[in-house]
Amino acid sequence: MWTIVRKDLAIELRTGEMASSMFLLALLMVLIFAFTLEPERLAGPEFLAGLSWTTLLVAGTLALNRSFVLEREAGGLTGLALAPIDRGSIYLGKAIGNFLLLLVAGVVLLPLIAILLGTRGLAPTMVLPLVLLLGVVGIAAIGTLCAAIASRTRAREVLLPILMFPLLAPLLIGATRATAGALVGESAGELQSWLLMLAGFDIVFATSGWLSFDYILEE
Amino acid sequence: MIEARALRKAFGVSLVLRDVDLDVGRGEIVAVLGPNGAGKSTLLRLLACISRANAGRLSLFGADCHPGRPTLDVLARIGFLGHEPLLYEDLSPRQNLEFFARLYSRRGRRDDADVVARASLERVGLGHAMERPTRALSRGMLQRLAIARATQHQPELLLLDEPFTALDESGSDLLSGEIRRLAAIGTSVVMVTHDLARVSSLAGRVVILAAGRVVHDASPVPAAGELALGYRRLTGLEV
Amino acid sequence: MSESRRTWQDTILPWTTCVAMLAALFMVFVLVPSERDQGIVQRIFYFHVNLAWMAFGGFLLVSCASFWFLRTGSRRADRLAHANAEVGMLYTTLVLVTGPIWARPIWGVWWTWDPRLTMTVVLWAIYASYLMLRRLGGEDDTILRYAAVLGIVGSLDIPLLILAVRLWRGVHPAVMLAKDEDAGLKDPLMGWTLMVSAIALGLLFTWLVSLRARLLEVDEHVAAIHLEGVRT
Repeated sequence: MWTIVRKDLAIELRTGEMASSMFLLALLMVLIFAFTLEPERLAGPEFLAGLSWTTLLVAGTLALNRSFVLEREAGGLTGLALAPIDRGSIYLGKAIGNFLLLLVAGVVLLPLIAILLGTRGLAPTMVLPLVLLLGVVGIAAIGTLCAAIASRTRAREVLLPILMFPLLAPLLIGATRATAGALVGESAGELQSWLLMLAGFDIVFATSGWLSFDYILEE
Repeated sequence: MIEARALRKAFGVSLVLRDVDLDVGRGEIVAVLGPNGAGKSTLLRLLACISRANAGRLSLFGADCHPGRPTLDVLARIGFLGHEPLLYEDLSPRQNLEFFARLYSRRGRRDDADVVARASLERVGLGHAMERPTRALSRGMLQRLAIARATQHQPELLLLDEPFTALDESGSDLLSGEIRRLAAIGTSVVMVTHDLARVSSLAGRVVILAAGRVVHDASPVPAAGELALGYRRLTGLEV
Repeated sequence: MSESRRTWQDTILPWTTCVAMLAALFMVFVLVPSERDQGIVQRIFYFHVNLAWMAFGGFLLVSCASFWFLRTGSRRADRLAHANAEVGMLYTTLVLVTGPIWARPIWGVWWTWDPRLTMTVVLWAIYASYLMLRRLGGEDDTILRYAAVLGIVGSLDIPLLILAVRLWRGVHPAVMLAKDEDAGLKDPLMGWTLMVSAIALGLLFTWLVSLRARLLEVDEHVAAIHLEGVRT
């Protein structure tokens, strides 16, 4: 499992294409939002949270797609399927790699967007990294599963968001609310129900991804 | 080693393999011939336990094959060379082989991966190119790398899909040598190929597949000329 | 399929469905008295409510059929999953259509982001993504398996969805309708109407699914024959 993670990281370090294009796309999205909606109106913790998660999701979808397109170019997941490793480990390996990439993106994006939209009135608490973490795990878990499914079809670029987004609805709702709360100083206690829901979401979907990868890899 | 009975495989509604029986024993080298679309690659993928047959039974090394939940033990003993190289273009050859060596190694021997990778590269004549990015390799070199990947874990069953196509003369000799060497220590080899000369010199048995059915399965293997005639008679086509 | 077999689906089901639907329509539009506060428009409620829980239940059926397919590889299970998804999506669409028709006269708006409507939209999207996967997936058998996985994962998503949306948006205003003791389902006839309409819609669901599943089976046979003919 870790072998796969390391392999993906090695590829990423060599080419750096995923991280840079993700970041650029996210930035461009923020600009688009600023141009199409009044920048002044975009201020406030709710909007900040919403914008961050939206851009993270879209940029993340790109990264997820690429991660499996690379595998496909290498001959599909066949090479991995042939190897004597647990199918579930393959899933976890890819998911962890995606998770790390998304996490880095999130850590960079959130402060950046805050700066761009104005940080007045914000009092972020320690809960914020926790929310980010939980949210990104969820996106990585579902995203890896859907990307694996979509990568085997012909219409894979368009199918991945179609599969991912509806399933991520609860996560988006929860993560955005919790982020907004954490940005204005709400404590973990106040945000408890959201955090628990996110954690539940992560557990359910990471587990189902891990269990179902047997079926995904079989031809 | 391999015991296949009445295998059927369909993609959607088109039947690609019908009622295929195949037995391969230890150390046997079997060549599979057939026109395009006969189902040879599909058969190989079934034997590699990455594809599931719709009907029939397949047993490898005495155990039934379940592509969905495969016995890792079985997979570890199979080496596969397909149409695609199954290599990562952005990594170097050495990194590629090291990755696969790690995946295939038994517990506790992960540290050998680097050593194993280098040794394999030397064996296929790519020692000088081990750090170049894989996408810069020529087709022949890429094929050699793929051969290294397929053989470096000392498989007991080697499945090769048109392995000679991209290779030059020396590469083909290298591969023939590898095949003979592995067969001598008990590895079974099943190779799909169109190279009749190699078939006559290497294979102990010939199986001809046409329209998803086995139309010929016999040994010993005649010389290339006679083989071509027999092939044309059975399938109505040139090899 | 060389002869047509008349099974219970061919004979009893359509007739009982027709009878039930007629009864329901009669009860809803003729028999039952109008609800005090809301007037005639409220009659949609008898359909809307049942359509709604059947829409959600439909996905549960999809996931059960999907699970059965993954376990046994039975193509019948796969066809049932597919059929249930299509009919479920139809019902979800109807919920989303009848909702605003009811809402506009009562609340004055076509749409609100209240929890039940929100979750219904997402349910619709989940259905749509499932059907899209089947359509764009190509001819392979593997797609059936992927769709089955999606079916199961989707149904796991739904409870979380309900939880998230409830946390977010509060409660469906329908509950608030019962603020007045005299309003709501005061008349027992209303309860009966609700039940009859539930039975009717349930039968309709079953009938549509069985029709669709058999159509899919015929499709498969036709495709197989066609391909055999081409190959020879």
